[in-house]
Amino acid sequence: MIEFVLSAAQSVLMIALAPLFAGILKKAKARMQHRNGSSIFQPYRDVAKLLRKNETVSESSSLLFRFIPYVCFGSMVLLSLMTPFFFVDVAAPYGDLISMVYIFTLYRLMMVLGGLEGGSVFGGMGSSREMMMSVLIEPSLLLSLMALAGLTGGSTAVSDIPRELIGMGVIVLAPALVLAASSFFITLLAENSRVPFDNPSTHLELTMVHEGMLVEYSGRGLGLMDLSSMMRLMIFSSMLCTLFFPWGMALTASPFAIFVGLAAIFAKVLFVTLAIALIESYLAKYRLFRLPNLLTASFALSLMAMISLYIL
Amino acid sequence: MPETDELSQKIRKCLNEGLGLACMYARGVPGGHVLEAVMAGDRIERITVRVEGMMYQSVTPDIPSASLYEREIYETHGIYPAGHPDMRPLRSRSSWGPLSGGRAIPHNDIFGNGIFEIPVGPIHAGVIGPGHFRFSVAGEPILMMRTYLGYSRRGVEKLMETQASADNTAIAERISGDNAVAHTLAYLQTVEQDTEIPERARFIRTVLSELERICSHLGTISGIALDTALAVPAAHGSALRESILRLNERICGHRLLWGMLRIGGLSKDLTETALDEIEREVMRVRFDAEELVGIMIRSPSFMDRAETTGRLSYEDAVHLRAVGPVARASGVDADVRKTRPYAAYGLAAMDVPKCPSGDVYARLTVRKREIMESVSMILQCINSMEDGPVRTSVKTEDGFYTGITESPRGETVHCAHIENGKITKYKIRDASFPNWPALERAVMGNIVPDFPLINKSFDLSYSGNDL
Repeated sequence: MIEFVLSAAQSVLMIALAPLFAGILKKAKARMQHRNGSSIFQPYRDVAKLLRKNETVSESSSLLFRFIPYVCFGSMVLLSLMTPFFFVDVAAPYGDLISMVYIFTLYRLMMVLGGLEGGSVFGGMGSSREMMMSVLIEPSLLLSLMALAGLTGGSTAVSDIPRELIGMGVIVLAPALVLAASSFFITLLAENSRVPFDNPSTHLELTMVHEGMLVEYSGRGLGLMDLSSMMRLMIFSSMLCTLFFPWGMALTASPFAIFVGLAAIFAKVLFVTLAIALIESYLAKYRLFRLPNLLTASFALSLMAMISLYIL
Repeated sequence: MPETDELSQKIRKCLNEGLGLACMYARGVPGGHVLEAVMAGDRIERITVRVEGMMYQSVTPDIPSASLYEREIYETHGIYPAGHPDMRPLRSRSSWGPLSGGRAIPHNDIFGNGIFEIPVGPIHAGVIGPGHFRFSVAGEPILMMRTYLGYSRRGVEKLMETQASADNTAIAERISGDNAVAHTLAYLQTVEQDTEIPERARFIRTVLSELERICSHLGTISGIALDTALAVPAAHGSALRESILRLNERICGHRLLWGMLRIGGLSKDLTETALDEIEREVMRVRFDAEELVGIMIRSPSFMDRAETTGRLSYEDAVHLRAVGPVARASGVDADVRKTRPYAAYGLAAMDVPKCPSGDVYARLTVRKREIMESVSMILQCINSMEDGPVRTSVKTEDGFYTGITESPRGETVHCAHIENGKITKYKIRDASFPNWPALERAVMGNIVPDFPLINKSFDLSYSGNDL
């Protein structure tokens, strides 16, 4: 019983903390540019403000347009129930890594449809670019997770992997894990529309990918879409921190283990957030047709992880 | 229509002598119109041809750089250039228009399977000027891009038609706010004519004009960094620009240097402390700007975006008569400060930076080197300045006068016809006007997400173009 309460609590915590880490990311970027930046709690205020507002919906869009934010938000809530955070068990242990990948795909598909729904040029351009990237992201994302599953004995169940990895001890820090984790980190940047794939803070409608698809949303719909994309970043970071580097997670429900688990996950997610901020500050956005190269590199890394696992 | 072959021949003759078409416009005279063409190079030549009726033989097929001016003449005076290959509306609109006889914006003249047209603007996501762009794309590569401007038209030329003795500097400063000094100096040339301006005033005018250039170029460099999502150099560049803006405010009370220039000289002298402060600040900016561009070009991801992007060939730059840093980045050797020095430019040594490749990187490099030159010129001027008056009285004569200056964006032309002490026709040609078609050429073959970067590297003015 206590396990279930803990795993439900960690999902709620994940959703609640998503805007905070988005705020920390913005703040870190601002500090690196010698700016003060807005408060780390600003994303909470932004989302709260948007959720209170009415929506303006394009006349050319269908009913689907209004449903999409809820579908996107729902799929992210579902994923947060499936992802471990500080505790090893998850509230919804029914899915595995593959279903997680395809819930992300569902989210992306919905967003792409939403971009096309409004009938605006920028939505269409954003959607077409997103689909181009998605074709390249999916194989490397799947392959890096497969390498992880192979490393831990072949199970793709989410809650088995951290246990297995911790049980294996230091020996697990094999090339396969590091390669798969690097590949996963590149897909994290691509999937979450970060620099060098996309510029989340751009004002240039012609270069937008993710923001282009959201251009027609307003009010509550926009609030939900923004919240969902913050949650997506949070879920990806927690996957990196719990599936690939699970050390410190609470394996039992003892208060001490939970305390250590919380501290460890905070430190790890903060580290990932700062790494993203650093990359965004020192890298220019890549030319659009240069992005496949980077995603191919990610694919090659996870392929190497597989090879080192099964052949070497 | 024999009279206009005359126009074409006269322009052609000047082109062969190395002059370029700097400006062309129509002027109403009793019983008809005359076409005026101003040819500029190492000297200025004026061509005047009378038009009978409301139509004449277009010179554009022969001289491509005349295209814009002929379209403008049609919209302002209704004189049709027969045989003009491209009579799209320039500034007027059917739904809304400051000029009568507005026409609808046509679709791009390009057809085929899978070719889409993307209309963008005039309202943009960022805080920039209003401009409507039509991209014809096949996937991401741009096959054709057409600009439709005119949304910020205010009728400045008409406002300038006052008594020649009236001080219109306040209007001239507002033609293109961040090029205020260059525009005002061009205006002053038309009314000060041959008056000998005190030397101290000329030196200070040069200093102000170069401060304006540093400020504008820093803004562009920072914008280029921002458009490639290179956040740290972008913030660094904005901070540098801000430090110059604040310097401007301290020395003359306005961040964009408005209100300093007056007919006959300056509205106030700069004190020794102000000059010392300028000297200190520009020295600092010189090193910081060098470091800033260094950070940018040492980043491989930035260089990948900047090199070969938005290439404007030397031939196109010459044919369209692009001006300013844009032309110099395509290898054209043109700088009014060097060819026909005004203010105190004849007294200071300067180098005209050029770059042959014509891409975003070349325009960045030219701008960086111009900042270095500007700093050197400011220091030279401050060092050779002597105490003296900064204002004199001016007697304006009747006749035709041109004022041509080099603004941060390039050659800026003002023409004034003065009759009986009154300006009867005033024509302004901002540096951005001939550079917009150059932008249309430069984006061809690039991909849509690179357009904002190319546009920023051109750094064109909307208000200066729309007038």
